[in-house]
This record gives sequence, structure tokens and C-alpha cells, in this order.
Amino acid sequence: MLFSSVVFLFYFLPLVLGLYYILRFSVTLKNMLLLVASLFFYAWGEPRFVLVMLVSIALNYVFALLVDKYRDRRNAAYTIITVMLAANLGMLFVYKYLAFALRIVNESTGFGLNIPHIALPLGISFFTFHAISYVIDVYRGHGSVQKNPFYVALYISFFPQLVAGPILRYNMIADQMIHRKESWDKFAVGCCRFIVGLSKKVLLSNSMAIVADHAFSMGGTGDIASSLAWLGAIAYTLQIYFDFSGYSDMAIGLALMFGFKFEENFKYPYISCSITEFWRRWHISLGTWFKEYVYFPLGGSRVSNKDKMIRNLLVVWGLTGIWHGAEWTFVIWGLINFAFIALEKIFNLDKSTRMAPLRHFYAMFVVVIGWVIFRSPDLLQAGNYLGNMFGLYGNGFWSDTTWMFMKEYALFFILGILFSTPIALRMNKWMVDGVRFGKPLELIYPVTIIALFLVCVSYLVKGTYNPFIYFNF
Amino acid sequence: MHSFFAKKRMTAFLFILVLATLSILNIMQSFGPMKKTLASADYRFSNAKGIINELDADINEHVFEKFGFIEAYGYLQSLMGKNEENNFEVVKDTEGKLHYTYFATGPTDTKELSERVAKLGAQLGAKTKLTYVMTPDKYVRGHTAFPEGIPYNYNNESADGFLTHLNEAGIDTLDLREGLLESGIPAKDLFFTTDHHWKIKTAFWAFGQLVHHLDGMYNKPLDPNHYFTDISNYNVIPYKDFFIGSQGRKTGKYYAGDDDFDLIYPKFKTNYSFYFKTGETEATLNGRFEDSLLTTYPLNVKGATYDLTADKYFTYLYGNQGIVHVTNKDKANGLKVMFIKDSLAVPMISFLSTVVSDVYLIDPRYYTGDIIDFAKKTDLDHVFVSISPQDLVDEFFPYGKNKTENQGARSK
Repeated sequence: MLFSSVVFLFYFLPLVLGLYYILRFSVTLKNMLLLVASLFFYAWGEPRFVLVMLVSIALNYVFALLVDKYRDRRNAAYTIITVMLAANLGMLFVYKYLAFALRIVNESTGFGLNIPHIALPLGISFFTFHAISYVIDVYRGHGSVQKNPFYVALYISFFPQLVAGPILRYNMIADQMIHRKESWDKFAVGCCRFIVGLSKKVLLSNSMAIVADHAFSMGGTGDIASSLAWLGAIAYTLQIYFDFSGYSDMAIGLALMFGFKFEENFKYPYISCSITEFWRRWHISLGTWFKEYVYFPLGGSRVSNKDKMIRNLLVVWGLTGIWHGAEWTFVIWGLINFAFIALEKIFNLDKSTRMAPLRHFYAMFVVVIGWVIFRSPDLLQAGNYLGNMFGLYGNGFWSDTTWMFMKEYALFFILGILFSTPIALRMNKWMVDGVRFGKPLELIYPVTIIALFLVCVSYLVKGTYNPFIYFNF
Repeated sequence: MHSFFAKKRMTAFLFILVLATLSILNIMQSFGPMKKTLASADYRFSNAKGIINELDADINEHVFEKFGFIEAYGYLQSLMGKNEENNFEVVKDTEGKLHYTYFATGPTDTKELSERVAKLGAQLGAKTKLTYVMTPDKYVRGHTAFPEGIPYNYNNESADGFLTHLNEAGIDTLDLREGLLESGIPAKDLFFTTDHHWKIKTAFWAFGQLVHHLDGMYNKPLDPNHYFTDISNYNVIPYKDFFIGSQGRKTGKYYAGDDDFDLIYPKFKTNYSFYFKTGETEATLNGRFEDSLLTTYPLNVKGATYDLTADKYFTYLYGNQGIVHVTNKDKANGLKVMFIKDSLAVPMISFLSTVVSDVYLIDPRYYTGDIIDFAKKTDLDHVFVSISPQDLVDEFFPYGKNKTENQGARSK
């Protein structure tokens, strides 16, 4: 089920919210309700994959009990952790990477192995990372082991974060599952956050997707004007940001409605002046997960020499790339990020405060080029698209199609660029602090947000273009 | 801080109000269809996805005030001055008419389709003539223009190629795109604004062109006194702001407005038998043109409506049926003709029925039998194939396929 759907907005959400607040007197009943609702939410997309998630939950429930029991016996604990990683990553490998791996084997050896068509369970990368986080945090003593399997199930399957994150580390959520407190203020902030996220997804991201999808479908295999290729690349840059951050906003908002507090996942990444800064602002929960469970265990930056640090970065960014999808484009995208982050670390560029506009231009240039590779179905098409952007095929600069897309989507481009910056945050602050126009502004806010919600509903009822970009994740 | 939470609380209160209201109204709206789906569902785990999909469709189809929301959506697109809506679902031309289009780099190859028509011709008896009637595309060459950069689908160029192939194969053709701008009908009134079909007056003009074309093929003119092809012998009932077509249903009337509709039917006395069958539904009607060949239901629905069953264009011959047999009882010895057609041809064929004895209509999308077999078994003087430029695709040419294509189709 998608947040941006009629069934979620007018059936699932009101029903779950209503029942939740009826059961407000009992934490156990509230959690049971959220678990059942989460499984139903997941099953609505593809019922059979609920079984995959349930297997993951059951296995990790047992792994955590075992690792908790044998925590003091180092070898036993390590063995359990190793088996746990093999089971979780093995499952992820079979569903997500097996076909890709067999393709590589075939291409490099000519074996001609049969490549199976395996459907990817929705959000498997997210719930696998949740599961790993749970067992490791229990081992580290960063959260107590759950004797009740339903709480493990709730942590792994909690519907606001199930499909597109944010990736919740167990230590951040364990206590909230038992001791959270709902409040009208939390609920109110959650509602507003949800509507803002919905608007980002439905109005901005989906509109940008139309430009991006046409540009990439034409520019991946044929020649298009370089202006159109750039416009498509910028459109995708905005699409993926508003899609991903919109989903995160909706998840954070929904969680608040149920009394949970999730950490921020995006902090205006497109105002960054370096790639290092970009990744401090982009998909923060994924970066933190890799930092906590891969980078730091490898030694992180506090290693005896820079070579080791570079190795650690390479491992993390290689994994970050491949986490996003089983294709060379994701690997290359991850390695490009690695290369620039490593260079910035070596030359201390990320700590520089000089020439901010130039550094911002540099960061955005690398980000946009990275997104072109990320968006392309394969490296060949990525190369072709980049060739179009830089006019390598004598493809000319201008075309009527560029003008048409600019004209048709001008408002969305302008709003997209504006809201990639903290302008809304400043407007909010200005409205809150506004003394002279305080009262009228207080009224404008609710009217604007509800109007945005109704506009989103009109787009959803109309059945507008609503691509789902998390199938790879 | 107080102000921060105050406006959020106010928003949350309104949100709950809107959410609860819309939720209740939506559940009331979709309850019946969902109940029906659940009652007829096959409750096996392997079928769970199918049930979910059906429920999802029920929910999305039966949204409270669905077209109110679509109108709001269309209004917003209009405010933004957009000529394209919802990923090129429809586009506006420079005079505000809606069009279906897509990104294309050139005409589509229609050679295979033209070969199928030629095979159909080869299998007809010596007595039966074959003519391809190319109805016009809404993008009228020499008149229609798209705003800069809006993609053009090359329908007309695809149709040109198709007719060239047919002519090379010796098939008789009538291209109704020719002379369209000299028809006397203002170019802006040839097609509906919100529908992909031509207006009824344009269809009537096409009927005249068809009769003229046939007169050149038969010794006995179909309308020697130009009586039946004279619109002054027909009642023309105008309905103002009365029609929202298939394209308008996608955008709402605030995006492209609505259309006037002219109902045209003979003033002179007529006597028909009209039989139609689609799937298991069949019926026969007898009487005058307006009693047997016209359904008044769409016209009785007041005003421009989004209700699909009230589509005014389908007033004629009850729209698209799998097979239709019209008998003009006043022309017992006239021509017996058959049309393999899409929806554009329907009103034109209605008018043609005034000058022939029997008309059979087959819609390749809904007719389940073998079209060539039917044509061979039926006593026919003339077979027409009339598929408009936008429909020159496999679905409308299910006959005369190569064996390999048939096997491919079966394995699908």
C-alpha cells in the first residue's frame, strides 16, 4: 500500500487511527493493533511476501535471544552474529542480487547459466537492515532483548517506515515501543508533517517524474538536445529528493500521530557545499546505519593511516551503492561518491569555508551527474545520456521539447528548487515569530495545509502519474 | 512556541474533520461494490492478490464526488496554463481542443495491417467489393496546430503509408481526410473539443462523400436525386453545452469546457429493423430511424455529464456493439454492405443505412467470431473497412494474420 493512495488515506489511516485512540488505555493492545495493521499494509501490496517478512522476524527473534544469552561467550556470540548475518544477507542476496550475480558469471565466463526471474519483496532492504540492527544492538547492549516476538515483529514491520524508511536503529525505538506517550501536540505536528510529505510526493516529485522519465527514455537510447538532457537530469534530481524526503516526512508524521518519534532523514541536502556534507544531509538514517554497523566496526576514520580509512570508505560506499539496487549503475554511483568523499577527506575540502558558491556548484554538479548514472537502467544508457548532456553526439543545445517541458512544468521547477532550500523553515519561523501579522498568519497556515491536502487528493483521485521508485530498494 | 503549536493544532483539527468526512463518504460510496467483490471472491491464498486488486479498483472507481475532484484537478491545470495534463494523457491544441498523443519520431509501420486487409479482400467472393474508408484524424492537416514542443503522434503520416500500401495491393480506398476543409463545415467545428470523435454534422458530410464514391462504382446511383444526402431533409436538434467526451472526462470541464451536440435524424419516413449482439447481450428493435437506430438515454440525461453510459456520441446505433445488423425495410433491393469499423464510423453508417438495404457492422474489439468467415457466409455486395488513423493497431485487424502471428497470439 502506498501512502499516496486513496485506500491508505481514506480507509486504512482513519481506521487505524480511530482504533488506536480507542485502545489508548493499553500499550499492549495498541502495539498489537499496529502490528496487525502493519502486516495488512504490507500484504496489500503482495500478500505472499508477508511470509518472507515473517520468516525474517522469526529468525531474528531467535538470533537475538541466543546472542543475548551467549553475549559473554565471545566465540558463541560471534558465531551467532555470523549466522545471523549469513541468514539475513543470504535472503537479501537471493531476492535482490542472485540474478545480477548470475548475469555477471554468464558475462564473464560464458557459462550460460539460467537466470531466474525473482520478484523483489517490497522494502526487503529496509526490513533486513532493521533486523540486523536489532540483533547487533541487543548484542552490544544498546537495547534489551525482546522476549515477546510481537514487539520484534512490530519493530521490523511498523508500517510508517516499512516501504521506504527511514531505517530505524533498534536502540532508537526499543524504549518507545513500551513507553511512548501520545499527545495532541505530537499528533498535530505529525498531521502537518504528513501533509507536507504527501504534497512533496504527489505534487512535486510526481510532476518532476514526468519530465525526467521522458528525458531519460529518449536520451538513454537516442539523441536529444543537451538542454533537454540537463533539464531531465535536474528534474530527476528534484524527483528523487521530493519522493524520498516526502516519504520520510510522511513516515515521521505518521509515527508522531502514533506517539513515536523518528529521527530526521533529510536536511536540505541540495544546499550542501561538498559531497561529504551532502551525505550528512541525504538519507541520514542509511548513512548512520552504515556508520554504526560497518564503518565504525572497520575502524572508521580513527585508524593508524589514511590508507585504512580509504579502504573503510571504499567498503561503505561500495555497499551503499549496491544496497540501492542490483545493477552496475548503482555500484558506479556508490564508487563516485566514495571517490569524491575520499578526495574531500584527503584534501580537507569538506572543512573549507571559502568560496561557498563555487563549492556548492561543484557539489551539485557531482550530485546531478551521480543521479544520471543512478537513474539509468544500465551503464550503456547512462553513458549515452551523459553524452547527450555534454553534446558529444552533435545533438545540439536547444529543442522545442525542452521549451515545452520548461513551460509546462515551470511552476513545479520553481517550487521544487525553492523548497529544496530551508525557505519553508524560515517562513515557518517568520510566521511563528510574526508579531505584527501574527494572528492572520496563524490562520493562513492551516488553510494552506488543508488546501494542499485537498489538491493532493484531487491528483490522487484523478489517478495522476504516481511512479514508485523503491522497487529496487 | 505557543503560536507554533496553535496553528498545528488548528490544522490537525481540520485534517481530522476532512479525513473523517471523506472517509465515511467514501466507504458509503464503495461499500456496495466491495461487498459484491467479496461475495464473489475465490478465497484461496493464491488468489489473495487478485481480490486485493479488485477491492483496490472498487475503491478507486467509487470515490465520493470523483468528478468533482477531477474538475478541481483540471481547473488547477488550467490555472497553470498547461497544454499537457497527466503525463500527456491528453494535450490541448492551439484552439483548445483536446487530443490523444504520444512522443513519436515518425510514422508507425502499418504494412502488415494493410496486408491483412488485402487478405480479407482476396477471400471475399467475386461479387463482393472491398473499400477501405479512412476517417479523419482529429489532428486535421492544414488546420490543427499544437503549441511549440507538444509531441505529435504522426497518425496522419501512418495513415498515408497504410493507404499507399492498400493502393499498391489494388484495394479501393476513400480518404475522407481529403476535402474535409472544403466541406463547408468550419474547421474548428469538425471535431468535438472534449471527444476524439468527429461531430455528427461532419459524419453526415462523410456519408455524402461515401455515397458519391459508391456512385462511381455501381451502375445504379444510391441517391440519384440527392435527397438522402441533403441535410435539409433531416431534423437537426442542437443541444447546447451538453456533452463531455472521453477526453473531457479525463480533465473535467474546467480544463477544456464542454461541447454542443447535434442530433441529426431523417425528417422523411423510415422503417428499420435493428439487431445487435455483444457478448451475451442481444436485442432487436423495429421502427423509424429515431426509434430503432437511436437510443435516447444519453440525451435524456440532462446537461454535460461524466456518466459513461450517457455518452452522447453513442446515441447512434447504441455505440460500439460486437455485431449489428440494420435492415432498411424500405430498400428491400438495395445494396447489402458490411463495415468492419471503429467508433468513428458509427454515425456515418447510420446515415448510410437510409440508402442501402442491409448494413452489418462488426467491431473487431468485441466480435468474437471469425470476421472473414462471417463475410464469406453472408450475402454481401460490399465490404468496408473503416478504422481511423489513431486505431491503426493490431487490435483492430484481428483477421488475415500470418500463421506465425496466430500462433504467437495463441501462446499469449
